[in-house]
This record gives sequence, structure tokens and C-alpha cells, in this order.
Amino acid sequence: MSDASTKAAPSAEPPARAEREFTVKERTQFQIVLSRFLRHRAAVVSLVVLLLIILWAYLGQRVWPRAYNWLEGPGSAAPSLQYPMGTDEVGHDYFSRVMRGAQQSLNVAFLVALLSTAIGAPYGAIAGYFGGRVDMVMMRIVDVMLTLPVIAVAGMLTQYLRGTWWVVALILAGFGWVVNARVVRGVVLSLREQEFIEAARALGASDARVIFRHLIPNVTGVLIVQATLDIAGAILAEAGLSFIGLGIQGPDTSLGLLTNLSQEAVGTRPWLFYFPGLTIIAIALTINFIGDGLRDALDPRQTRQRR
Amino acid sequence: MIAYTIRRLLAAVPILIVSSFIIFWVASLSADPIRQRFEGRNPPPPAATIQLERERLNFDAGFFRQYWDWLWNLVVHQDFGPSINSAMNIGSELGRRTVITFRLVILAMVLAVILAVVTGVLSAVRQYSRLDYTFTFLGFLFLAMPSFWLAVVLKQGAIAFNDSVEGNLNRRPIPTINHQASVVPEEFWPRMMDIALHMVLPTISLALITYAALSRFQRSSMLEVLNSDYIRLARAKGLSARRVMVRHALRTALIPLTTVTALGIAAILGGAVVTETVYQWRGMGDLLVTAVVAQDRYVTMGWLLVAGLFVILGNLAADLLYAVLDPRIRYE
Amino acid sequence: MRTGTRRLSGLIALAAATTLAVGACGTDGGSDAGKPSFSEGFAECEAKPNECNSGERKQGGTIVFAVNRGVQNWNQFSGDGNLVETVLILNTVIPSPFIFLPDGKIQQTELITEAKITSESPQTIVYKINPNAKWDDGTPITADDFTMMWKFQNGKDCPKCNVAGTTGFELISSITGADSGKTVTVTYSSPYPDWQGLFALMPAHVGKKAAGGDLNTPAALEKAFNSFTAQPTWSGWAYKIDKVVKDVQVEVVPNPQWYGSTKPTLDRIIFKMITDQKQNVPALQNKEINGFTAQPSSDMVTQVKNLAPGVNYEMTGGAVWEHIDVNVKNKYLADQKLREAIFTAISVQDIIQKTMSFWPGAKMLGSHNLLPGTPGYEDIVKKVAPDQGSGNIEKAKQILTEAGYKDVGTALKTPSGEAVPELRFLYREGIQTRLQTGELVQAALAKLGLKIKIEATANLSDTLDTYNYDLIIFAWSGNPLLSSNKDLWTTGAGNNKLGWGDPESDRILAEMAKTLDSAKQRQLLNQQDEIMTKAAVVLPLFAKPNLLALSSDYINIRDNNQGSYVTYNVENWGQKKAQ
Repeated sequence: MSDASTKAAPSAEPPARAEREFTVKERTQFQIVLSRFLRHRAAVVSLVVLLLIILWAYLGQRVWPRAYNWLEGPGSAAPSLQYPMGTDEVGHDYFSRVMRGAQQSLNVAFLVALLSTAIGAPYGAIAGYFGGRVDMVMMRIVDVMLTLPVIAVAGMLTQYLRGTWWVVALILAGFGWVVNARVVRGVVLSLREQEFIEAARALGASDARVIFRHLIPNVTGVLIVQATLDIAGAILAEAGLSFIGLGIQGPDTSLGLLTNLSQEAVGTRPWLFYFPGLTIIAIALTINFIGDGLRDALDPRQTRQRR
Repeated sequence: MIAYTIRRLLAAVPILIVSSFIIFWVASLSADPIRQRFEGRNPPPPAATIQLERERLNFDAGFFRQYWDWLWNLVVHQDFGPSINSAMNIGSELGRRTVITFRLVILAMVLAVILAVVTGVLSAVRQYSRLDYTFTFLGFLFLAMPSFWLAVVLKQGAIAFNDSVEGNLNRRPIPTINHQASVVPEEFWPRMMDIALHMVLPTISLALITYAALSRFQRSSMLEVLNSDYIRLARAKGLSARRVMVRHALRTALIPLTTVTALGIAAILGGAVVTETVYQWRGMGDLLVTAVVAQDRYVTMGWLLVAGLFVILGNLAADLLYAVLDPRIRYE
Repeated sequence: MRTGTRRLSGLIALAAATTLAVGACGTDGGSDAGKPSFSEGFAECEAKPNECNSGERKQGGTIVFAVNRGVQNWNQFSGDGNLVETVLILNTVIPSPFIFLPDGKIQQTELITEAKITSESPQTIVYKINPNAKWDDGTPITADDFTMMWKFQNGKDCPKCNVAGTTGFELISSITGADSGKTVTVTYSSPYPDWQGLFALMPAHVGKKAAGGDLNTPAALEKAFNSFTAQPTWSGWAYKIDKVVKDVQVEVVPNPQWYGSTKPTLDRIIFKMITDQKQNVPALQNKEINGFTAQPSSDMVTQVKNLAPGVNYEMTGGAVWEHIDVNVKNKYLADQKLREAIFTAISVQDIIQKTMSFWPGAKMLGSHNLLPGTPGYEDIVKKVAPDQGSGNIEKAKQILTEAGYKDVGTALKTPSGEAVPELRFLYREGIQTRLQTGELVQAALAKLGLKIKIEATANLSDTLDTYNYDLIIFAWSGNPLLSSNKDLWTTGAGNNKLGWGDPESDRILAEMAKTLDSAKQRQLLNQQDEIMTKAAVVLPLFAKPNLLALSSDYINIRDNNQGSYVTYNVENWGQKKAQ
């Protein structure tokens, strides 16, 4: 140090600068959450895989030479270079069909999660916050929804379900928002007894302000995790509806429909059953892991380090 | 709390009435079940027969009148109304089927809960270890599998198993359909054995899927509890890990699990559709599918009353448990 | 002849969203339907459909046979009791004077010793009931039973009986008994050629008891009719119903009072309900059932083949036939040339190959009235309109260009310059093969410049009745009792869903419905068919096959798609005698 100072030209900078060797930057919550998330290896891998699947499902169809409703291939051909997932009995290119199926299933799933959260969260927050009569009535409406069987409603409305994925999504969301509402309500019920809410109220915050400025942001963590569960659940629910013939209908296709139609082919033409089935599992699995990672990352009380 | 419970129970009545009305309204929007049943017969049935069927099913009365008739019959005569199948007594059918489904659901639930608690605890205690990752992965895997996948695979497995032991045992132990054999054994113990064997596959199917859902809950709530202050205090006090786990952490962590279980039983009652279809158990799920496909509205409404009642009771139990076990929750 | 079956042979495949189409009445394949497919044990069935899989039976044994649906209403003559599965099971207890054999021939049963047409106008039949024929409580089978069945189903004596059909019975003017009821004289008010299909019987003495004494009033008849909804405690045939586990299985045991010459050897037959067709093969594999019939799919056939040699199978052409109808009320489709072009562009062979790949050799059905293998069948389509169903796109384009259509192959326009709009192709939802057929049709017609939109309908009858379609695919059940074909094609008739009619065709059909001579009937039907085929309103596709899979331990069981179902010879069923 002393050598440098004797050799260097005299500088005008104050020596105070040498006091600090580094700067400290405040980390936003987002950055904290992100860094914690990135430490969850499975979640990161899942995120990558899911993004790849999404890209494949949505963009792959533009790139792939054969559309999902092209049907001039050989019947029931096993997977080969030309037909990576084989063909079905009519001659459809199965690779293309699975891509399309994934796209439609994802469409349904995302829309369901979006609608369920958008309806369920405010509903649950309001019910949990106000409590008393309001909560009672609102939760009884939830009970009505819970007693209605999805299958019956979907089954009786089949003629309106004509092939469109968003109608299926509407029906699933129409039943799915209830779970989000219950979850949010549960969290709000415990949150509202806490001091910071009392403080906000003491400071004169209106109910709306308390709900939207204070409660809901604290519920985001739970909401996000629940949203991921909704997505995974919707994919499986659509597959379940297809099992009874009530999901997305032909000539369009979905993963649930593909798996369901090829149930009998498990032993005889396994590619028809396993490819869409494994895709469903892959999507649901990756989303669940992502949700898990998010839950870990968003939990403020998480203190243990990842090995 | 008592007042709350009573209020909730009383609320069950209007809830069920509203739900049944909604289903009734949805059913009226759908296809005419009589036309559907006689569709395409060559020669077509006589007009007189169709008219008789319409009268029997009360289709010619007005919309509200039909609903009111059904409700009145139900309350005054305990009659659930006419089914498309003229010989079906909806009430006794519902009763019989509920018993069958319960048999399936209760055992599956018990198994699932045990599995979930054990793996959830192990996972949480050794968070991020290989054990944790394995259990997490398995839990997610079963969660991500469409239910009929599992059922189909299990069936094939059972058949292969039967094939291999048939030579030695001279029988095929594991059945794949129904809740009892075609020829039911006369004596008590063989009959019990027969029933038990018939429960193997469907219970495993249902249990694995339920376990998956529960295990996520258990693990995350265990984690939350383990990271909380009072556990840290207990450990700081010098209590052994086992004591901390069992006497403090586990109890608290079980709270959400109990509520989820209560909800789960109610949900599975109507939700074991796939399992019942694949294994050909004549339970509630099977009834619902048949009724919906045939557009049999009164059966669906009756089904809703029974299943809906269980859902409401399950929810009530869940809420009560939650309040009882977590003193921070207050119900006014 | 089991009457119920005659009406049942009228049940249609399209109704069931569950896959098992009505047991598929029909014949085994004759040479024209494409070779039926058999495993080793059934190899004779092609040549000798009535006698294959026969052999010596050993005494004793049980068989578990799967059926697709549970029995709710045991009265197979009522509207909601008239289901394939119910009739199949009741074949074990209900006597009929005639049955249909697998090859379509009608055979007299041991219920009667003879049935003679003693006069043609008015048509009068005299039955002589077997003197030994009796119900299992000892009461002899007499004219009273005939009379009761007539009164139930004639539409006049019992207006409140919700019967499945009145055809035939409504034409009977009187029934009289003689020789203590063992001779029955049935007089018709107008000719009814399908008289052999009538008179499956239920016991009159049981009905009288339920009604409180006699059956002379409508109220009494109604009470009696409804009483038969309950599980039968009686039997007039080889077995009697022993135990029923609701919706699970029906067990029958031999009837000690059986009067027939062939005695049952099986101790017990268990009819097991398996509602999901996909579970049949695993159950067979696991030996929980010994046999089933179902509509085959390629995977099912492969799986059954893999079970050989322990399991035999027989796949035969059924009586249910698929077809594509055109809505002639659509102003564009009213033009016959367009219809012809459409039919020419569709390749039925391609459809068969792709949707029925498990049945190599299946061929396009060539008739609207008769089924291959039945007497009188002619390939009418090949005869008068060989291009229909050929898939010859060039020919189809030629037809259009010659008729003045423009822009053929790109965006079809009528001679007057109007663009032909998108046509709607309807199918009943849930049936995958029909959707696939729709896709193939769509691709084929696109080559002509026609756009097709494929839609599913939940309610086929509504769609048909309101002509809410342009092209539609569904199935009819061919009927061995031919006069009912009149209802399908006569202008304005009950089952005529086409909106098409032709006075010459109507005339021929009316004559056919009155002709007692079966050969002449078939000739007339073929004549009518020629008119229909030339008009290009219905494109027949194929007769849907039916699969019977059976453990090789059992013999004398063979498929019967003619309306009497696999249990037509149930008294003959047995286990193979060990060699």
C-alpha cells in the first residue's frame, strides 16, 4: 500500500473511499424468493422441463410438417424415425396429436387455474376477513358448490361442451374456485388476528384497504402454490372427465382423450397409451415440484439450508 | 361452538335444496331421457308407451311443479322419485350402494393416512435428504398419475401374479372384478377371506392416490411446524429429538391432516368413479355415471342428497376439528 | 320364436353411449361380408354356423358368462325392460315357438309340435302346443298364455301397459283355444308375414293371480303386466332363476320340469354384469368369467387372440349396419348429382380398413334391406351404382363437372355460381369409430372442394327428427323379420329419418309388407333397394361385427346375431367331456 501511494501521482480523491471495500445492496423480496427457489434443484429442473414441454406443445406444431388432423399415414405403425410416436389406426401422426393434445390440456389447465384464483382468492379473503354472518353465508354457498357433482353437471351439459376447450375449462373452474376460496379463507382467518392487521385498522384503514393492501399480499405465497396445484389438478380432472367421455371431444384432442381412447391398447399398441400418459405425468409432476419449490422459497420461516 | 354446529347443521337443509334444484335445472336443459332410451328402435315404440313413461316420470307437469312434487314425495313419503328404470327403488339403491362404497373408501383412507403420516414425518425430519427426495418424488408421481392408469397397471400385475402362483396354490388368489366372488363361500372364514381378497386391488389403487394428496399436506405442515418458534424452544430446552417430534411437532402438524381427511372421505364417496368402474364395484360412483349417461334426473338428485350430506358433514367436521385443535381460530 | 327378440332385433346400436351395441343381431359372415374370423376351436363356424363348437358334454359344471348391463325390469315386453341383456338372460326361462339360428334360418322349438298356416285370407295360424309343455309348477302351457301375451301387446286391451311394441299383435283379430288349450288358432285381420316372431310366452296363471283372479279388464291386465316386472319365480324353459345379486349377477339352475329332449348338463349358469367393456378381457384372463360377447376393437381382438389356446373366439358379421345418410331437404344436397359425387368420393374400403383393421377381408355392405349371408342378399350397390363408396375421386369430379359444377377440387360452386357452403357431418358423441369415419369423409370430400365440419350430437333422435344435419352417420339394426323395413323407407313413416320418399318405392314396400312368401319378400326388397340406391340418399358402409370369446372348456356355445342371441340354445350348453 505504501509503495503504491509513493509511486502514484498525488490524487484528489479523499482517503475516505478506502474505508469500504464493497457495497451493500438491499435485496427485494422477489430476489430473496428467487434465490431460494433456485436452490431447490428439483424445482429448477422441473421448471426447465415444463418450459420445454410448453414450447414443444405450442410452437412445435408450427414447425412439425404434419398437422394433428392429417391422416394419410400408415395405420397403427410403431414409433420410427419418420413417425416418432407412431400412428394410430386411422393414420394420424401421433406425435402431432400428442403435441396438440398437450396444448389443449395446458390451455384448459392454465385457464382453470387463472379463473379459480381470480374468483376464489377475493371470495375467500372477504369471507375470512369479515367472519360472522358474511362468512356463514359465503361458506354455505361454497357448500352448495361442493355438493354438486362435477360429473353430473358436465354430463348433463354435454351438448354445450361441443369440443371447445374453454367450455371444459369454465366448468372445471366453476367447481375449482371453491378450493382456492377455502385455502385463502383459512389463511386469512389466522392472519386477521395478528397485530399488523390490528394496527392497520387502528390507523383507520377501510376494510377494502385492509383486504387488498394487507391481507392478500400476505396470502400470495399460498395462492401461488395453490395455483400450481390447480393446474396439475385441472390436467388430471380433464383426463378424468375424458374417462367418462365428458372432456374435450373429437375431432379435437387432449391428453386425457388420447390416453382414455387407448386404454385397451396398453398391451397391444403401447405407444398410443404411454406417450400421452407420460406427458400428463410429466406435466403434473413438474408443476407439483415447481409448486413445492415455490412453497419452500416463499415460506419466511424456512431457515434450514439446502445441502 | 355448539351454537355454531347447530347453525351449520340447520344450514344443511337449504344447501341441499338449492343444490338439488340446481341439478334439476341443469337436467332439464339436457336431452330428453325417454327419447334417448328409445332412440332408433326399429320399429319405434308405440306412442302410448312413450306417453305412459312421460306420465310416470312426471315430465308433463310444469318445471317448478315437477321439482315441488319430487320434494314433497321425498319429505312426506320418503320416496326418492321414479327412475328411468321403472323397477328401481332409488332409496334402497342408494342405501345399498353407499354401503359398498364406504367399505372401499374407509379402508383406503385409513391406509392412505398411515402412509402419509409416516412418509410425511420422515420426509420432514430429514428434509432434503435422499429419503425426502424419494418420498417426495413418489408422492408427486402418484399424484400426477391419472387414476385409471394405476388401476390398469395393477390389474395386469395381479393377473401376472396369479399366473405365476396358480400352479402351486391351485387357485388364482387375487380377483380383478366385483366385491365378492361369483360363487360365494358358505362358511364364515372363507367368505371373509373372499371379501378381503376382493378388496386388495381397489383399496391399493384408491389408497395410493389418496396418500399422494395427503402426503404433500403432511410434509408441508410438518415443515411449517418444525420451523416454528416453540419447537425451537423445545429443542433449546434440551428435549430429545424423538420427544420433540412426537409430543410437540406431530400433534400440531396433524391438524391440517385431520381436516383434509374429513374433507377427503366426503370427496371420495362420490369421487371413486374410476376405481369403481375399473373394478366393477356397484357403488355410488358407478351409480352416478350410469345415471348421468342415461340422463336419469331423479337418481342424480337422490345421489346428490346422499353424497352432498356427507360432504356437508365432512366439511363441518373439518371446520370443527380445525377450531378445536388450533386455539387461534375463533368462530362467532 | 322369442318375440321379445324380434323387437329387440329392432334395437339400435346408436342409442348406447356405452359401447355394447345391442347384441348385434345378424348373420355370421357369408362370403359377401368378408370372411369372419375364428380361432381354432371355432374353425367350423364359417361353413356350419349352426353346428360349430359342438361335441360331447360332461355332466355338471358352471359357466360364468359376462353381459353388459344389469337387469332392472324383468318384463322384457315393456318399454324399459326391452334390453338385449334382459332378453339374453330370459331366454333361459321364456318359451317361444320359433327361434332364429345363427345362419338366419327359422327353427321351430319344442314348445310346439306344429304351426300351420291354415288359411291365407284371413291369415290364420294353428299352433299345436307340445302336450308335455308346462310351466315349472306343473301348470300346462296353453292357449291362455297366448291370449294373455296378445292382450298385453295389442295396444287395445291394455292401454296402460307400457309395451315395447305392438307390431304384429295389433293385427290379430282373435285367438281361440281347443283340446284343453293345447291347440291355438290365431286369426289376423290383415296379412302379417313375420308371424313366426310372435308369442314368446309368460305364464297366464301367474298373471291372473297377480291381477286378482282373471284378466278380463284393462285394469287387471295392467296389474298383471306390471307384476312381471319382478324377478320371475316361474319358468317355461330349460332353466329357472335361482339367485340374483342386483346389478352383479343372475344365477340360473336347470328346471326339473323341463320338457325338451335335450337336458341341460350344467349345474349353474351365472350371468355376470360387466358394464365397462374394457374389463372383459382381463376378467377372462383372470378366469373370473368364462366367456363374453362384445363389439370388437382391434386391441380387444389382439388380446383375445393372445389368450389362445385356452380361449376361443368367433367374430361374425352382425345385423347392425352403419350408414351415412344425406339430408335431402338441404337445398344443395337435393341435387342428386352432388349426392352421387359425394358417395363416389367416399372410399368405404378405406374406412373399413382404418376403423376395422382387426377384421381383414371385411367388405362394403351392398344392400339397405338384407344382410350378407341371409337368403336373397344381393349386392345392389355393385349392381346399379358401382361407383358409390369406391373412393374414385376422378370419377366424382367428373360427375360434378358434367353436371355443371364449377371449381371442382378447389372451392365447389353450383352451376348457377353459388358457392356450396360448409356441410355439417353429425355423429353420435362418444363413438370413436364414427368420428374417425367422419375425418376420413372430410379428407375425401376436401378433394372435391367441399368443406365438411364434423360435429357430435348428444341426442341423435332430435338431430334426426329436426333434420339438423347435412350428413349423418348412424346404424340400423337389420331385422330378420323383414316387414319392418317398410317403416324405414316409406315416405313419412315413423322411422323414416331421411326426408326422402318415392312413390314407386312406397308401392313396393306396401306390397312387401303383405307378402307371406319369404322369397318373394326378399325379391321385392331388392327391387325397392335399386330405386333407393340410384337416388343416392343412404350410403351403406358395413355390417358391424360381433365378437364371442369363450374359454375352450365349453362347447355348444356359439354366437347368434339373429335376434335370439348367444343363449338361443342354452339347453345345449355344456362343459367339454374329458377325452
